Amino acid sequence: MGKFLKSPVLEISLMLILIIVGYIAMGLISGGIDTPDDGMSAKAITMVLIGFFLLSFVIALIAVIAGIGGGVIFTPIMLAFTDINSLIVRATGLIVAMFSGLVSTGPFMRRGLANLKLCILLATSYGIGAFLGATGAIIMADSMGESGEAIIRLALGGIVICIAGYFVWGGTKMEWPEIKKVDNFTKKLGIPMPYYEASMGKVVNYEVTRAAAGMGAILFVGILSGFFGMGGGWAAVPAMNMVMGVPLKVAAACSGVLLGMGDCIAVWPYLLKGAIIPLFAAPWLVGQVLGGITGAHLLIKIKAGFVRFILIGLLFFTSFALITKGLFKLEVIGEVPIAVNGGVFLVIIVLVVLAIMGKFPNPMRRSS
Amino acid sequence: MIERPAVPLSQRVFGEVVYWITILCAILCIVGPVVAFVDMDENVLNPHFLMQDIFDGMAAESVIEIDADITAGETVLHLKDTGDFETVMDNLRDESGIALIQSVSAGDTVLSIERIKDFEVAQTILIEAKDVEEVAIIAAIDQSAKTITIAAGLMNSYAIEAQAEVTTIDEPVIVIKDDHNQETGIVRAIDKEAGTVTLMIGVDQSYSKDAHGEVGEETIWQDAKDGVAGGHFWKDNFTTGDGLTQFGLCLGCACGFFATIAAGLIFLFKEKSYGWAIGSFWIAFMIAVSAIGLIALH
Repeated sequence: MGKFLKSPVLEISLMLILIIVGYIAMGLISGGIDTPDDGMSAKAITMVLIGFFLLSFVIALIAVIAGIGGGVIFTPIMLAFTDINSLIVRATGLIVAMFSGLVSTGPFMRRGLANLKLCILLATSYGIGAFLGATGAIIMADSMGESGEAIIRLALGGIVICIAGYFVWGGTKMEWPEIKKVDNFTKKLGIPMPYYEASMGKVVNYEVTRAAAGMGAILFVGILSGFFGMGGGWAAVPAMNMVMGVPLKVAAACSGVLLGMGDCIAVWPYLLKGAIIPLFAAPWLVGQVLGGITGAHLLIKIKAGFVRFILIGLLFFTSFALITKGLFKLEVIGEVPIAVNGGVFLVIIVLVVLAIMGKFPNPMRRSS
Repeated sequence: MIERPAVPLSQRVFGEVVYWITILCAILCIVGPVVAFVDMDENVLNPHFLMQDIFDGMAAESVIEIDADITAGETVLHLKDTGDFETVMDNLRDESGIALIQSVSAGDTVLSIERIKDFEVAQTILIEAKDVEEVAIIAAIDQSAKTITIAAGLMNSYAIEAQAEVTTIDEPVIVIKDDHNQETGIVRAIDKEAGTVTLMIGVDQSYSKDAHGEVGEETIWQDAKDGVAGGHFWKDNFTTGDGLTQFGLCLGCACGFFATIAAGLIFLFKEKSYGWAIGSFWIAFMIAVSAIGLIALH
């Protein structure tokens, strides 16, 4: 009985009970509500909310295992496959990215894996970048109308291809970067903090260097994150790892904290503009929180390579849909027939299956 | 047994504050939508229409500044740019167009078309040809002669050689507002080159540039109760389902503020790390500035 009253079982159980009771209550209530003309029925709304929650939960699980923020998956999918206004999608994407980071903050901070000083240092530049990005997104939406919607989809399609490529070839990030010299500015900051590395059964002392350059790189990551509302964990981790020499595991932990902290700044322009619609964003938020905690505590043993291949396939297909939708909105091409979409999807599925089976050419196998 | 290094108090407190506020706001976001279902009409945004509007791609925000003051009765609005409205007609289109079988000139009210059975009196239609389009209301239909009579004379000429056609559309509603007045109007035509929007009927009130006169497409928030436009609407609507949910979202979005303040105080008084205390307070300050809209776009 005692273990059910301890964190995280207590909060997970409480949230699960509330979700189950809540959705059953909504289902029962919706049976007796009349649907007005031109409105969506209460039953359909209930199904949509449950669907959003489940999708968000799955996204959070995949994101935790793949070591990225949920926004990277959420925003491109919603922009590519729905007609929902891009400002609303990006605002909700920022909520998804932020809460996927916030929920991991507690455990990482408690264990000492994340480094608060490093996070504060980088959050100052990430926050400025994210705010600039969010402001730019709103200016673009206000001034460019439909062309802006098309350009955003095209640009995001290009970025998603780059992310997918990064996951295929794995980048040059290193688990334990070797630091030969620490510059004076970084030395004065006194960032390093030893932590207990459970997988090695020892205390790890690490160094950090080039803090100023790291802040510059994170500023750029913040702009991307704020503009597209998709988080920037995929870029923040390599930036910390390669530029500042932060160990990979520490960089991954700090990236979650950093995104959560930085997006607390970036999200407000969206919220104040009315782009965060409570009933639409709520199930996504709940899915991220519950999926994030569950993923971190229960699914840690799942083979990451398997999920990574699915993620790569998902990213390539999403980028295809984003680019074709952008070109369609710019009237460069006609609407893509379902058969073509299906064909591309099938090809990608086959490639993913081949990769999982280890029958794919070198790059994907080597980095799994 | 290896002794684990102690995690600084500031870091532990930061983590706990963030974690528990996140859990609390998730619980509010579970309870809020259930409360919203108890009485749908009590919400700031009625969920029936809200979800439909979201899936229809309706905007959350649409604003274009006016380029000249508008006086009551005026039908032509001069805007700084018509970018937002360029595809407004396309988005409202119900089905594909039906061709005109006779060219018409500006001022004409009778349109001869290929097929008449899909049209009804009082319907809104879009008449378009290459590079020119306008909206009209059907006043009468003659089934045998295959003609439509529109309520007001055409603004432009439409030649059958330029693939002129007629399409039924939903009413292209726009919102005109400034700091003092607000009303909706129905678009009759958009002139991209001149940067003007012509309305079916003249505006009831006057709008000035100095009072931040704006024109925009109808947004999700147009049907909101009490005329709120998003943001911190929960303050006056805390007991409604979506107000409670919005409070949960705002609390979560502000958790970085509370956590950095708490960590900053520990840096300052307990750990005597003044530089890091300033860093923490700086982040809290940025969140606060962003949250209260001190840096806002008009």
